[in-house]
Amino acid sequence: MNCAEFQKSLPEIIDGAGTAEQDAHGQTCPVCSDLVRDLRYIAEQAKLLMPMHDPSPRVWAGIQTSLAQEGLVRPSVGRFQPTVIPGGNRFGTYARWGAVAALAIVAFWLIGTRTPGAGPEQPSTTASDTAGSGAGAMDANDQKLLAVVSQQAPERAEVYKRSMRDVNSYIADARKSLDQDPSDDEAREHLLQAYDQKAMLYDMATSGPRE
Amino acid sequence: MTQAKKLVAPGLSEAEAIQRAQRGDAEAFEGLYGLHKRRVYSLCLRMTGNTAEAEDLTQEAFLQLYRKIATFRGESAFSTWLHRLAVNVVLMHLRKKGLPEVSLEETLEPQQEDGPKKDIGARDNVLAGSIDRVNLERAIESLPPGYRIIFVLHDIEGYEHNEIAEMMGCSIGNSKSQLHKARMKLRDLLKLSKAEKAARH
Repeated sequence: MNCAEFQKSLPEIIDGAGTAEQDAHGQTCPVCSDLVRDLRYIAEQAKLLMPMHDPSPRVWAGIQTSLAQEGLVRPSVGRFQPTVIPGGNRFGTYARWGAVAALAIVAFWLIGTRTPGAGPEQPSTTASDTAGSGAGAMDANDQKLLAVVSQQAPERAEVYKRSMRDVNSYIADARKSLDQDPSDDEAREHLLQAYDQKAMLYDMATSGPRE
Repeated sequence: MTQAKKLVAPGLSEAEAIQRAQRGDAEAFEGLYGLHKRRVYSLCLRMTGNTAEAEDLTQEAFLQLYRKIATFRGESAFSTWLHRLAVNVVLMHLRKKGLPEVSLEETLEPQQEDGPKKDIGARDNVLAGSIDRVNLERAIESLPPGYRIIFVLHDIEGYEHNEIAEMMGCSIGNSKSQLHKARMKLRDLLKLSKAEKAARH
């Protein structure tokens, strides 16, 4: 089997449905072996992508308007006007809290990186990744949070751990991009979103048991 | 997701919110919006690659949710059901626009120059371990639409080829073929980005 024949059957090979002959070629040909490894790697990384962006408030406003125009909102539960919700709009509060917490974390990070002697070459001094041993590494605060979650709701600990690693990994990726190109606004936005997600994670973990 | 109950607000589980929203409770619906907006919007954004369109489609998806939530019977997870609804909204929009995104027939495939390059006989640096997700997001965004949709649905959202074929009105083989081309194209884009970064440093 040659490379052209092998690469014609790549979709099946990537899915692990290659023939013995194809497998043998894949093991001996460095070009095809690299190709298979890359394509599998891309597929694996894509599975780890998280929803990172929130729609603007315009979307919710549009939904409210449309439903009101169509007469679908019952007058007796006209709580689409957030200002009249007794006890406040909980999601607004969450969003604000999340934004404040995210800003606090980002501010902490910015202060840390601007301290003389603590330049961008020292990622291990950041709030998100003090361990500095891999993109998803957790710092002492993360570990403390996970310990609390483990005590309060052990069944959720693994989910939090995975989410924390994911979000830390996102933060590390965005920081890396930003370090490489400080004028990269998109990377900056990703970084802020990632911090926002992390703040929300902390919020969810510390807002009490969820029954 | 977790086996633990999801909360849309303190003291209100998702299941309770769904039941209340099915009875027309707007506050419960608002809670469901808060819980799912990010995932729905991200899906729309990744499929269209356009912020304004993604916002319009997110709005449309939740409007449809409000209209149809009474028909949700709990046969699948609510998030799965909503997600499918959102995918259909996006695909319907693309069909209306008459863009080739929705058709996967060979005649409407992206142009050859958009396609992946053959890699026969050339060995260069491998990607493994070197992709960061910001770059991956960027590369996905710059995929030709026909490739991007299949890639998003299969590799990110986890749909199977038979589901994609059904939603897109194409054959399973076609879905597989497009996915493969998308991954190949992404590999090219990521390598290019890696090389550009290396050249800058």
